[in-house]
Amino acid sequence: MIDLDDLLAPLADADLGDPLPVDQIRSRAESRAAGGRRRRLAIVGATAAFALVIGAALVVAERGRPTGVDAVDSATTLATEPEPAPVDDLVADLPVGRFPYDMLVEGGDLWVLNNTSRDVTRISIAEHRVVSTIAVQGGAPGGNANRLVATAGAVWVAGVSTPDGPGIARIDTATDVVTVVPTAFEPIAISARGGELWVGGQRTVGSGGDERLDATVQRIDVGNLEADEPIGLAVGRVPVDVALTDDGLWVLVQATGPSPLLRVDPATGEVTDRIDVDAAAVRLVATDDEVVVGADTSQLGGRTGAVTLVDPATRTVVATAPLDARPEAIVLVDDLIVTSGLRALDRRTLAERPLPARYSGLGFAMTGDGTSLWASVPGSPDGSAAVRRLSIDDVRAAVAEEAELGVPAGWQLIDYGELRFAVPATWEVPVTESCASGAPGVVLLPTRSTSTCSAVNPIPLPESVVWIVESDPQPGGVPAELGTLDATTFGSLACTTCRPTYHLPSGLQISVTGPEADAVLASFTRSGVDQALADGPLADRSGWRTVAFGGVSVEVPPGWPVVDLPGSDTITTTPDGTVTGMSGRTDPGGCGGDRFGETGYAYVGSSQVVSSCPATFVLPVHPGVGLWIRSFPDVGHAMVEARPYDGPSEVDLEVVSGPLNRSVREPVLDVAVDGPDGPVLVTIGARSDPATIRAILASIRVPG
Amino acid sequence: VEDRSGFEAWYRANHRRVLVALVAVAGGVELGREATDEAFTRAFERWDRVQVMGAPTGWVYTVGLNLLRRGHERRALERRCLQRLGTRDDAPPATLAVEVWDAVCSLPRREREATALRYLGGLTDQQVADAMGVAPGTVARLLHDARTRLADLLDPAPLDATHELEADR
Repeated sequence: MIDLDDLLAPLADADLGDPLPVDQIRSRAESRAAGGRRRRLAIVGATAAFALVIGAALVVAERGRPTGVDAVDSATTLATEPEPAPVDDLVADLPVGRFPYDMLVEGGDLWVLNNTSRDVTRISIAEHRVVSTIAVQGGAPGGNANRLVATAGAVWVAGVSTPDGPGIARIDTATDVVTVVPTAFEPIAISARGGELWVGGQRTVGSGGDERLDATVQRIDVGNLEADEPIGLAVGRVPVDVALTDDGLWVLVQATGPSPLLRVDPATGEVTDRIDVDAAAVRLVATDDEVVVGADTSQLGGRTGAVTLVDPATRTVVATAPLDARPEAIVLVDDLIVTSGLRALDRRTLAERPLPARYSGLGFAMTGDGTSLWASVPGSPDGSAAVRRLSIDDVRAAVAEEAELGVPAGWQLIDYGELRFAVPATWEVPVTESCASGAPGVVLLPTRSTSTCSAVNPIPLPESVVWIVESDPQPGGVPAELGTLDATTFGSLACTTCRPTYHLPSGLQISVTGPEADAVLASFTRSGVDQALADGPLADRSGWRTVAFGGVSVEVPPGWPVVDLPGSDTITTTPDGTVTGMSGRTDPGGCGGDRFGETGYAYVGSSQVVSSCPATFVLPVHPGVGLWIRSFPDVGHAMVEARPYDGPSEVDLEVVSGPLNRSVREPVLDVAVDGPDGPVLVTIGARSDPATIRAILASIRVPG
Repeated sequence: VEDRSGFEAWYRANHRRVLVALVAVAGGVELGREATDEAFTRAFERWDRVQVMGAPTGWVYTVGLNLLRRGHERRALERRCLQRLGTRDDAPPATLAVEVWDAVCSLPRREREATALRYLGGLTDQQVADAMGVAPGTVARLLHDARTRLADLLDPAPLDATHELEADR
């Protein structure tokens, strides 16, 4: 038997370079602790300002080499193009923010209530940084800090516990000073409107042998902080949410079965209406025109949650829709109801509006501010948590795009080379390549699978697999339909215990197993790239902008921000020229990330900034809309093949295929053009509209 | 990032062996260095907790393995395609025979991990098992299988001519 010690000794002695200096480890750790990339940029900026003031220490200079961008259209002024607004951007880590439970926007700041750590994290929206962390413990153990509400000049927390009993905490937004206001019971719910504040909770009423629990509400004057007498509602359960509207005070009472939604007259304290919601209530949001109730339906079987829409005028249930996530938070966004998960519903009909799978898992706590949706990101095992800012416009665009693409609710769309298909959103995509018989291919496995594949691995394949193998075209076979594609099979389609392998004319072989196999197989169609390369209409280029790189120009849709990658680079040096830091935009797709986002961006040139990899290398699949033009030698992977593009174009273009544009994570179309300074590569996201892709290709010019 | 006393000495004492092992697991110097740097950075961030662990270095190995496992899935397709083109995305260490490097890299992932941690990282079978999250008996079996495969590849007369080497990478 071979001696591994001897065999591997040369590797143990190999020159692998010097260790990363501890100072650099410290620097990386400090950068993260400072709150992510955007905060790092702010630190560099602050350092630069300091250097300018004292004229010593640090010199911050724009990178020396010239920008690779030309504006060949007078309407395009990249030099003054502002950096695109952050999209899907992690804006703040909450270092003590374990279990963010509720959040709201008040006075230009985002306020996040952290239930476990009993504090409120105040984040400046304009500066994308944590301004302060405010303890809201009332001086005694206990308290259930689970709801936030704002009034003029104050943010309120329900509830806290003081040595003298329960209460609510008032945070002065000017000073962050906390004042505790005692309440007659432990406050669970809170709502405010004008100068009124209402809290809801549960208290013991009666005496002797007639003691019982009763849902109770209480009004507090936000001016003098005086509380009215508590009002019992004669319901022996806990109010989980209250909402004050012009129509009255709505009180949602928790129950394991049907939960009562009560309408209380604030003037008299009388319960005027009771509507039963057929599940365990968890959340209430009300306006003057609608009342939205979120419920946990897991005890009823079927899906996890539900949303019920109540008409406050008729005080009747309008509609109920099931969800596959418990609606701990509900935000009303234009014509959408967005719930934890993230799940989107039509605000009028409650019809589900599927969102891309990459939104899944966000938003146990959420709020919106008109332009942004703020959602909590699940905490990591070490306790850290975060909030993420999503552009509402992008969320709406994603809803529209998913609807246009016909992606079923709870499924995600995959582009792979010439193929587009859908798999359940819970599947982890992609997972691995095939290891069978040396044939290249892709195996997509569902979440939590530990298996790769069969031949040398004793662990059996998981139940649900999409297996795509590249091979030579195989003539003959029985005609069969794979979704909208014509295919052939060589096995029996009548086989009930096995799954046929579908052969495509290109040589791709596809088989799917598992309970979702039929639905997955039915979803197969041509990818956006494949559709773009076929004949078809060109998008109207009216209003498009022209960008250029390396003597090659291309037009991009007007809604696509242009990002000058080399122009964004900033290098920080010491006076002797030693580079101490670099910031700016990284190349799309760097560090294993996705190449393009859900909305179109036009990236020009190549960045020198090397991003520090995020905690996990694996990022979710994305729609892949956008364009990147740069020098061919900058391309970081080899090409497999090139063939002429025979669609409409005024210059000779070559469609090039490489490993990355066949990858599921980065489905792209790469087109090469000979520029005066050498070859230039135009990369287009596969999820861009095919007519748009064709119009982009038709717009490519080599001026002069 | 406050007090990190003791980190530097521990880091210098253990960096080399962690790096060598993770380079072998990764199948590339750059990937191995990347995972090593990240694992030690995380240890630095959590030093107050890591330093009191029974086996701080084992924790770093576990973090490094997890990083490489996640990165592996993404890189696997690129690597295979590049190999089809006759190119390499990451060269072997200069002092190592190419055939040995190729043989180690062609081991199935779990066998490669066990081999690297046991023979390059200097861990005991139990420590390897802890780092990989498997039973010690599994480690013994993985190491046995790895030796068999390497012998198949590197010995002039394979022990088992019918045993085809296939990698899960």
